[in-house]
Amino acid sequence: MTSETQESSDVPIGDIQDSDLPDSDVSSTPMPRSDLVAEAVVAGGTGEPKIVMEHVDKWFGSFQALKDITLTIGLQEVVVVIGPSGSGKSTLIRCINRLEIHDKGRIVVGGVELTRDPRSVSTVRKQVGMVFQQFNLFPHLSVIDNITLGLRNVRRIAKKPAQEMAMRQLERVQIAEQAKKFPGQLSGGQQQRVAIARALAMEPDVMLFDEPTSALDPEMVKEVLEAMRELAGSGMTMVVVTHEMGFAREVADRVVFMADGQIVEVGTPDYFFVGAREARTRRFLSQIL
Amino acid sequence: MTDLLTVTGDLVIPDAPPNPYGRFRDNPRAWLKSNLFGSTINGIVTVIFTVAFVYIMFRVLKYVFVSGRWDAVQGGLTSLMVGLNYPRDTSSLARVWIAVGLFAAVGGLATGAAHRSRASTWMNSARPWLPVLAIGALLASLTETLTPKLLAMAVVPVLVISAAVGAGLPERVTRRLWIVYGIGVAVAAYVLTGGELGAKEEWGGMLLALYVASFGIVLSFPLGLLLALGRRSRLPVVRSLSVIYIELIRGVPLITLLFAGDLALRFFLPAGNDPPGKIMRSIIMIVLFSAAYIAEIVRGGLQGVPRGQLEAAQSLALGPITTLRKVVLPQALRSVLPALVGQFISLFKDTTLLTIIGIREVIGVAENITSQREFRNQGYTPELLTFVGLLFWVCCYSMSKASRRLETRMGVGVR
Repeated sequence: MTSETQESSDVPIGDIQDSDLPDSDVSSTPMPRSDLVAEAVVAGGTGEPKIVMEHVDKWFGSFQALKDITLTIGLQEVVVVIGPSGSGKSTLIRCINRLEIHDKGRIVVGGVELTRDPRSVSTVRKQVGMVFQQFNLFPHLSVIDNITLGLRNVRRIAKKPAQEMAMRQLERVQIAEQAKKFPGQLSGGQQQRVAIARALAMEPDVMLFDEPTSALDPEMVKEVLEAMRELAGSGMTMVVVTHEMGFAREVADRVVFMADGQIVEVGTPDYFFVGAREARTRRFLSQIL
Repeated sequence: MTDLLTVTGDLVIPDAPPNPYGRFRDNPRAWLKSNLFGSTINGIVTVIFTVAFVYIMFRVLKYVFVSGRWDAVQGGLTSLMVGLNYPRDTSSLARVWIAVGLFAAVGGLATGAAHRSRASTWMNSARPWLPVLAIGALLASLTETLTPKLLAMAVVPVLVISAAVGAGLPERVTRRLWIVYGIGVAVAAYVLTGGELGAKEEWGGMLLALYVASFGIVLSFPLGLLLALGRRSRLPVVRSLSVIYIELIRGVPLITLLFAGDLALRFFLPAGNDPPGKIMRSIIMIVLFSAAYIAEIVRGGLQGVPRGQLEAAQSLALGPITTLRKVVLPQALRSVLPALVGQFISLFKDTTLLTIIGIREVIGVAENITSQREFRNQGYTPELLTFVGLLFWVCCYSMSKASRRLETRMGVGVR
């Protein structure tokens, strides 16, 4: 996390004034700010809230990584979180399965509030799968053993059925023929697909993706996005931190823009990429698009 | 080099780049000139080292075959192996031979099974055993009576047969072979001790050194593991106790601890409790000592496991114990295996310190032999120490060979 704090000082997002930007863009977005906040709370998908974050704060020492985050994510909704480095995107989704412990506010996942009680944490983690930027496969285990580890030790499934379940997930991400290999023998894209299969095998209700394509060579990004697109089509609730704007535009139900630990703006991709209201959002989009 | 042209003559296979190591294979003279006499200085160094090497080899061989007097080793061989006070009746000596046979069978089985799964040449698989066989042959040649000679030679067929059996076993059996190894070692221990737990006070020599070392290794590893985990614990009491223990023990020489165990341990026991025997006391001290070093080695391995591995395990809802057992420790221990084996080897060599607190292990026996009436004041010490050194070298070399094999085995698929 220290890297994020360092990078935040390199990107002077907060220094940009509204007056720096052309007036026409501002006038083309008539929605008042109060509606925006209301929109941020309302869930998409089926409308039934799956993840609720209320006034969440998170500190790393004296650095505040999350500032008063309020966000509701609906069942079967796909939410893409974008924003500059150090804006708190990763911290936000890592709070959802308590890889980071929030300091203030409430986080409720599937009706279970995350508290100090280890049972609440375990209940939430069983519902939530996660895919990391660096894959984080277990290098000492074969691909299939990577996947059956959780099935056998958390869900207490016998060896044979666990292996069958693992093979089904590997087929789903089209990598079944690599089951006996070790992670070090696979390409980055293949490793990331194994990581997706590993998370899916636990049959989660929610999938978190923390920059899943950022560590990949360009030619491998596609195969991973393809697997994620298929997953989104199947009705999985997904929270995705990514810099893949094409993916966001195409797959997301809503896009969340974060800067300096705050949610700056939330909206549908159409709204977002055409008529984002906030100066910071437009500035960020103009830099990367 | 016309044969670089193919039959049709239209395709020329490009000349392979010269192999810097292979190009002299057919021309020893060029090889000599380039490698040994490339320049004046190289030539001088070559001549000096050749003379030195020939001289040293001459002295060594002359010592071994001409001037060395091995009759003291020969006369005291049984004592060097099992100790001065070990009973010399047939059934007691048979126990040792049965144990040797069992270890040979277990070792052969393991070699055979490993050979099968690695698909290398038999020569390669047998290599770790060569020094053991060589020393076995040496021991057999030194015996004064026929029975031990024959028994020592009988170890070879045991090894070969068990290796062949190991190589012929199907995969699903080889995966569970560790059960057989465990039973074999347990039976050997049972035969040796006659069913009593702990070493008998009459033991000595190599038997005692190996016994103390195996006990020490088996017990100090789990203790060291717990200390390493304790040092990384979030609970301040556990953490500081571990740190205090490790730093205290590491700051004290082993010999001090052995004396403390020998003399002071009884003061800490409740009144009326007899302290355990002298050998058990020293085993306890060696375990406590070695555990502190193992703890630091393991801690290094634990620190080398990336944070992402823990996070992946957490995100799969694996509990802390499962995470430790299945994710953290396999990676941590593999990376520190060479250092761990180094610690085990040094533990084994430290058993010679037991002489100082009056336990007659190998060095003690050797000293005793040179002070016997028939060998006293005749300068037999170099021969005995050479022999003892050779015994230790073979054991340590085998340990390090075994660890190298374990490393390659565990390194599957990881680059």
